[in-house]
Amino acid sequence: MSLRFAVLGLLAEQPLHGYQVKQSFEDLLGGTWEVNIGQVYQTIQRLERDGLVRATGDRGDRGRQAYDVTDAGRDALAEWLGDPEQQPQVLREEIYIKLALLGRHADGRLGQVLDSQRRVYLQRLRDLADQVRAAQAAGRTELALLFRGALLHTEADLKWLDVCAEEIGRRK
Amino acid sequence: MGWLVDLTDVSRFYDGSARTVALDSVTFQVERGEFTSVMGPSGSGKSTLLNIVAGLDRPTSGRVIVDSQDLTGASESELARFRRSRIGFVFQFFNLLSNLTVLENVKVPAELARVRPAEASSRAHSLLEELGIASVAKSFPANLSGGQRQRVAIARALVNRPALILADEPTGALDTNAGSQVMDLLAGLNERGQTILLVTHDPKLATGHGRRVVTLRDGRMADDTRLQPWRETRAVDLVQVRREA
Repeated sequence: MSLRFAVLGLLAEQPLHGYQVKQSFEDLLGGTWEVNIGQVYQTIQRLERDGLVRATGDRGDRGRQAYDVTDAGRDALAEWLGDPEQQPQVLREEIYIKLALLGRHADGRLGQVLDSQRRVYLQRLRDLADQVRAAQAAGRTELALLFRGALLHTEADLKWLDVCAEEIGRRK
Repeated sequence: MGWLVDLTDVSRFYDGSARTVALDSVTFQVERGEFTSVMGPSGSGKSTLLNIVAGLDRPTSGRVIVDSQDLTGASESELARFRRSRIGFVFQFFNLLSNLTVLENVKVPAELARVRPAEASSRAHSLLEELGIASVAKSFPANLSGGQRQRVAIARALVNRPALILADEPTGALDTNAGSQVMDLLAGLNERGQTILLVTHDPKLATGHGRRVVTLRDGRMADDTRLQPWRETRAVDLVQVRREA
């Protein structure tokens, strides 16, 4: 869903053809989401089918077609931007599954698994801090905020590991 | 080279109605030029560790050597001299003297260490210049922002050219922006060779600069992680912003 609205948002700024949409989208998110051009064309076609964007101008060199947002498209974008997110929290890290299984299978190894995971998170905090600084130095405030969001999530992950370690320490 | 800080099997107990173990057999070394963060929740022993490295507290057992000086058997006056000349302190709440100007605050440790007045003034002036606070040299601490106060405290910590800067939650009383400026400042000093030991409960602070994070838990060394700064990581290998349709 979010690719659809991101494309809509980019086209609401200025008419773009498919390849420009791909480039602008990846740049918008600082490369944290790579899309293939096929996905982009498919998304534009669906937006066109739903009356949210339309082809504009002539086909340029190499037959590239630019697209523009319709009034209905602007309304849909404004509505999406204003809606709070209500999707469930996503916990994709496998450590959550490992923890559940290790509790049953590998007594004694759990502490070790938590420790090595913790080191990965510490390094990730550093990598993200470097990205925040790089984005700030480039004047990319929104991108810096995106990386700060990731940084705070990693901090929460780290706290959770400490809670796990404490709980396991108490059980011993 | 050798270690600047060398703790071997250091324990610290406090005897009250029950014995409290603040540090439990900690062995810990810091190289010259390192920027090391010591992290842990309150009560983990990090303040005790800091106090022992600073010569403000003595271990119950174990050996402490800092800048080639064995602190374990040092007398009180030897410890005081050690602290004045070898350690620069940066605290959470700045601890500036409110009745002295910025310049006078920075000069205090130099005067205590009997540095010649002209030399003390010249060092203080150039530090204020270096830290970007020369314009407030004649102001009193009460008239400065938190970030400026901490800069003054850092200048004061540096005036005796210490072997080691000990920073105890140096951004704890600052807003995010001033805090990150202070951390950048400390990182800049480290790049020019200053050894820094940072104590914090905040993992963001502990990992944001420097190359090493030591974690204390219940008075023990729970972890010692070496960080790789500025890895050539593709953003997408670090963060992925996407929701499956």
